[in-house]
Amino acid sequence: MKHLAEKLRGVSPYAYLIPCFAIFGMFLFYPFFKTIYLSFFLTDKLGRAKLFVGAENYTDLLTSESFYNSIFVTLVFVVIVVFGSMLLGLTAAVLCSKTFPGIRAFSTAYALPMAIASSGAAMIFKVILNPTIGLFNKLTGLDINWISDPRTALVCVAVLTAWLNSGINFLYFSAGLGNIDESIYERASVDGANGVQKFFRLTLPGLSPIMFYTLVVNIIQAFQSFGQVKILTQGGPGEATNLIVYSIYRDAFFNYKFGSAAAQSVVLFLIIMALTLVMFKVEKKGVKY
Amino acid sequence: MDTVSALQTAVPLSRSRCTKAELEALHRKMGLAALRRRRIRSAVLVSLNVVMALFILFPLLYAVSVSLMPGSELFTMEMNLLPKHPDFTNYLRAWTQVPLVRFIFNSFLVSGCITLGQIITCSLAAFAFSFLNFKGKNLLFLLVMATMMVPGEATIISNYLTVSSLGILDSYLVLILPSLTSAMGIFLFRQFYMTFPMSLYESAKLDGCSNLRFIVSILLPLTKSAIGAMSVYTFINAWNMYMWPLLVTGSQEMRTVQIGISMLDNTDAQSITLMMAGVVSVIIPSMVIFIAGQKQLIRGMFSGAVKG
Amino acid sequence: MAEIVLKDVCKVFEKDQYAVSNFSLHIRDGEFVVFVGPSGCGKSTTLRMIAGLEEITSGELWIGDELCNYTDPGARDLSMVFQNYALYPQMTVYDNMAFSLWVRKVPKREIRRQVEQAADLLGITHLLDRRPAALSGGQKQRVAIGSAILRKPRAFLMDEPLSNLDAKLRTHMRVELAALHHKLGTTVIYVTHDQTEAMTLADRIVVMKGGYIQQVATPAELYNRPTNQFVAGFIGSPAMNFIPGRVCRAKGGAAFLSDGGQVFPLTAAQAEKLWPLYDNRAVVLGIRPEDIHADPGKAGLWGEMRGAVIAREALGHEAIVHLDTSDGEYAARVAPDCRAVTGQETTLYLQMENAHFFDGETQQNIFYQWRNEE
Repeated sequence: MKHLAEKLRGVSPYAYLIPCFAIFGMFLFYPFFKTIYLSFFLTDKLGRAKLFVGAENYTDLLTSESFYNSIFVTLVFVVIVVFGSMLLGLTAAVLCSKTFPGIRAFSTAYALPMAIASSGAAMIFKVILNPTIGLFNKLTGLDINWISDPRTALVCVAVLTAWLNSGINFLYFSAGLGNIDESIYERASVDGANGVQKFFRLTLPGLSPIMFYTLVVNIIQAFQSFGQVKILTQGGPGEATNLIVYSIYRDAFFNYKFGSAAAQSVVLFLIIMALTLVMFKVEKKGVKY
Repeated sequence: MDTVSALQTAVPLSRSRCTKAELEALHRKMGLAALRRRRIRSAVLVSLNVVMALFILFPLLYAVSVSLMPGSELFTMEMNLLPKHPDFTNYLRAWTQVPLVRFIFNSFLVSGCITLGQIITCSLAAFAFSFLNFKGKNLLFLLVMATMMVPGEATIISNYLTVSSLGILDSYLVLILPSLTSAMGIFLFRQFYMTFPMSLYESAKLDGCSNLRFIVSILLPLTKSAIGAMSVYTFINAWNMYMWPLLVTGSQEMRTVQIGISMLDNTDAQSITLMMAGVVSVIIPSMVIFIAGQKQLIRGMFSGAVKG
Repeated sequence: MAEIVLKDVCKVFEKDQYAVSNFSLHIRDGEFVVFVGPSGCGKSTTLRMIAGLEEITSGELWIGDELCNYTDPGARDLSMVFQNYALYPQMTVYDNMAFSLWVRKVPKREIRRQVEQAADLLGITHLLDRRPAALSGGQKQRVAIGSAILRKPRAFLMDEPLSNLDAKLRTHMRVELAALHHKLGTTVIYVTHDQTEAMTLADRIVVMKGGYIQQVATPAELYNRPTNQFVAGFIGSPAMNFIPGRVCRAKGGAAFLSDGGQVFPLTAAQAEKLWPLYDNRAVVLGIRPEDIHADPGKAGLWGEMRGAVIAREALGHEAIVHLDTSDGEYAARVAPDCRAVTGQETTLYLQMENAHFFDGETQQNIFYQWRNEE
């Protein structure tokens, strides 16, 4: 043990980075470039690059209706999810911003969805939305087959995802509200502002630093949704819920079109990179007080 | 607003001409009104919260309720929020019909190893990034941060091809290995380490403390809250992992709960209640860990890591 | 503008724990009143009750001719400056100042006129487009004051407004505040823990301790006739020296015998009051540093105090000598040419006409009792 310690004292700083960079190298950097590489090839069933086709995978995508559909569906999905989950999180955080008996239990409840797996949640929603025995139809008196109707399936998956993501938003917004100086509310009271004016002129602007961060994190997270689609709709009916990540999965592991799937992965990466860069840029410029 | 009307009732009382009796009556009236307002306000707040909490928890509560229903009770056209004759047979059947114990064991093992591994690799890297000086430090850190931009789903195909060519499909190793480090963890730990003065490290060095001992006996104890937050977060994420285990596990012995539970996913009449029992069984561990670690998680996540 | 009257105002936070007890005060129109006391004495709570930020547990609050106990803070027509300034972080300085008019739906043009006027008065016109984060402490302070004055409220409430500034700026702002009050003539209620601020700014000072008013008086009155040992010790810097002891019979009347064995003569008036009433009872002699001299003057009655000089602080126009006597340590404010040297024994002279005497048990001033007439 002593021998080892002595050895380690002498080792260069890089040694501390070896474990993490080994993992990153093997499962992030290498596959990242391999994905780009694959996106220029036709592959066999085992995913081996067989034929260099240049940008053909990309041009195929850009002319494929299915791809545009997948992008469109993903965008609609992201908008609903982000709006819904942020609204849920914000409402819950505002409700918990003033102390009252039992506040701890309530705040645990509001954060709880972040502990729920997408697969389990999807199965629960499947039961709730079941056309014959589902509680939702019973409650609303409707008779809709929510999941197999192309008009409603996407909304169902989006609502489920918004629910799953609302927990962490509650935590973000609660932290944001906690950072607002209590005395500005007191000054506003003396100045004569009412509750509504305080909310829109002080609370919402006071959340703006964390609002933007939360927004971007939510968009990225929504783009990556997979489990709920797989279990609830399998991309269907038709291609109504064929979100981009699901489309990648389907192309690679059902159609064995690894090249096309790789090209879509690159597109997904580009979208997320752009969003992240925008976030850093704006953050540096300072959405601040 | 009611307070404005309160003001108006108060105005006619002039100091120069009001009697003691008038004043007392007003005090009593306004005191009661204030008390009532306070009570109403807190009642409204609590009831709004109850409504919201029921709304948020509804899917979970309903799942628990269905899991306790005998199969026949579910299949009616009537409203059936709560089981009329709750029993645990669904749980018994779910636990015998699929190897839930095995799935849960697998998930615990995999999530535990991932959590432990991430804490080790991330704290080592964060230590180097915050206390040591070496060439290319900023560049390497930037590289780590850049990995946050690469969504796991975008590299999953190549990763699958890699592990299948290595012949390690369908093993614990393949479930654990790719998740053994995370940029977020490195970032979180570094944020924490940066709050310590450099002199902490320097004085330990002067006392003849090796780097490794510095990490183990000084840094780790000082960053308990970060480790706590990180553990809860990582464990829950690993427990809820879906896409990767779905791709790389084939046999039943290696399945984690999230994949295994899908084996119960069957909308045929009798198995819905069974399925809910299974879902509830696998949600409970992550929920318990979340509730137990929630305070740690919030403290760690928001004390320095996320600047509000 | 209006007078503010408090009658037996109490604040109870938790069961039977009085934060403020029986606070009665009549603040005249245009008066500058300072609440002063150590932290936790209830001064801020009282101010917040006047503002409407805390409920009044019992008692009456009259602003002008109206009972305001139950009035909404915004409807009381007061404005408040907070210790941390409480500027709205996401608004520009202009919007910060305009906020109170905006919520009152004042026409835009009128708002602009008033904001510009107030900004001009405080010399912050060039800051109007900035956000609070881009301001220095002194600038924030001005913006807060500007926001407060522009509405022309019935009174200004200020909660330790200068305590976040550095010492030099604090002195400067103090002078400005006094000038501003003179110019505007609005009632000001000002809370501070700093007795210098209280002495320099106030028309009248309210000294508080443990939720009770100790004394309400003009600065001069408070300095010359403190009602008890607490007020005497709180007002004045360096603080008044207290020498515990007893009164004893001496030739030609009575003398003060300290616990440390020093004897100080008493004037005829002092002797008459103290003897024999305080025979064998604990008495505390209070003497301000400025009443201890290096040389006895020609006229008057002088007591001698002997001890070693343990420190000498030269302040230019004067010097503070710290003397270690058989009764403990005492400070004297002496002329800068005083010959006392650190480490040496010396004798200083107490001007006994200016001495105060406090009852050793009740700590009340034996010669003067202030009574709340409200």
